[in-house]
Amino acid sequence: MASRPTKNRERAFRNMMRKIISDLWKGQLHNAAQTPSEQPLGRKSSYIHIARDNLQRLDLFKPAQFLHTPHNQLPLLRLRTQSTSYISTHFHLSNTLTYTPYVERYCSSCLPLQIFGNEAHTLLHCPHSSPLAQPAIHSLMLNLRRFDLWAWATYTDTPKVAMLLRSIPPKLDRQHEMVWVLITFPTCTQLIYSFNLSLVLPNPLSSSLPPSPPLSCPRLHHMIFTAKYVRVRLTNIKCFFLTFVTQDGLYTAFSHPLPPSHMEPGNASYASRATSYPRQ
Amino acid sequence: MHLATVEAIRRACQVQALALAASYSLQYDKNSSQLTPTQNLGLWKAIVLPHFLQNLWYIQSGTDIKKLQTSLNLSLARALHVYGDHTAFLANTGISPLQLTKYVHLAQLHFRLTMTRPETLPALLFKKLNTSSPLSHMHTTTLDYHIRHATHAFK
Repeated sequence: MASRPTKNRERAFRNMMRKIISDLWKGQLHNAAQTPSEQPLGRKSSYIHIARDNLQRLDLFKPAQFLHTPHNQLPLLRLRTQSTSYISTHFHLSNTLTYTPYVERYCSSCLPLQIFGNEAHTLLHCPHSSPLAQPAIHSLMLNLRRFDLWAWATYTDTPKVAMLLRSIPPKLDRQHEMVWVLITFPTCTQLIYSFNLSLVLPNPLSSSLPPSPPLSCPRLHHMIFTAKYVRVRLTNIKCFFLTFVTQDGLYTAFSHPLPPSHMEPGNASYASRATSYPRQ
Repeated sequence: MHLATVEAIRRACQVQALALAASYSLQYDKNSSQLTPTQNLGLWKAIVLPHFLQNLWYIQSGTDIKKLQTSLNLSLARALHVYGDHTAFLANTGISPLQLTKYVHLAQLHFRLTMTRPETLPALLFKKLNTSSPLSHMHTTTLDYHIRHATHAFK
C-alpha cells in the first residue's frame, strides 16, 4: 500500500495536470469556434461564442457555477446547451422532418420575414419574445451600475446574451464574481421560466377546447403574445390561434374562425395589437 | 482492446439503469424529495463514469475512444434529461473529453513510474526499456509509447 506522502504527491500532480489539461481543452474549444466569418456556423460554435468568458474559469473540471445552486437549473442548462424548444436555431429538423442548415433556421415568430432566429434575436430583438426579457435587462443594467461596470448599451449582442444566461460580465473583479452570481440568480431564473411558460406553444388541437379568455377583459389588453393560423390535425380545419401571457405566468389559447382584423373592436379590443399572418 | 471497450459500455449502461432507478425511487421516498441536477450529476459521476475511465489508458484505438465518448455523452444526457450539444454539455458539467482524460491518466502513470515508486518492478522495466530509445523508434501500440506521447503533449 502506498504511503500517505506518495498519495499526496500523486494527487498534487493530478491537480496540476488538470490545470494544464483545462488550458488544452480551452484551446480546443476556441479552435472549434473559429469561423471565417464572425457568424457562428453551428450550435457548438454558437455556444462557445456565448460562453467565451464563462469558459475562462481556472478549472474546467468543476461544474459551472450556476449548477451549484440548490434550485432546479435544468431549464437554464437546456438553454445554454442549445436544446430548447423556443429558439429556432436549436432545431435541426423542420416540420417535414428534413434537416435545416444552421444559417436557414429562421425565427418562427417573425415569419414570413426570414430573420435568423438565434439567441440574440430571440432574447433581444424579436418583437414577440424580447419584451419578456425587459425586466431582466433592467435589473442587469442596475447591477452593472452598482459594480461600476460599462453600461448595458455599450456591450454587443453576444455579451448581453451571455449575461442574460448567467455568465460573468467582462472586466468584473474576481472577488465580486460570487456576489454577482448570487444577485443575478433570481433575475435570470425568472427570465428562463417566463420564456419556458410563454414561448412553448400548446398543442393546437387542445387549443380549440375551452376555457377561452373573456374577450373584453382589460387586463389582457397588453398581454397578447402571438396570433397565427394553424391547421387542426384530425379535422384538417384552419382556424385562428391566439396565445396570451397572463401576469401570473400562465398561458392559455383559443381558436376563432376570423382573423383579428375582422373582429369587432367591442369584442376584441386587444386584437389589433396581435401580429396576424396571411391564410396559407 | 476492442472487447474491453464493448464491455465498458455494457457495464456503464447496466449501472446507469440502476442510477436512474435509484433517482426515480427517491421521488417517492417519504424522507427525501426529487434529486436536484447537481445530485443527479454526482450520482452519475460516482457510479457510471468510473466504468468509462477504468481501462482508458490501455485503449489505443481512436475509433474505440470515439465510441466510448459517444456512449458517455448519451449516458450523461439521459441521466440529466438534457439532450443538447455535447460539447456545451460536457463543458458545463465539468467532464473533460476522454482523449484529454487519457492524457491525464498516462501522465499520472508516468509520474508514478518515474518519481513516486521508482523501485517497483514495472518502474524498473519502464526505465530499462524506454530511456535509450527515442519516441520515433517505439511501436505505436505499446503503452510506453502512449505514456511518452502524452508527456510530450504537455511540453
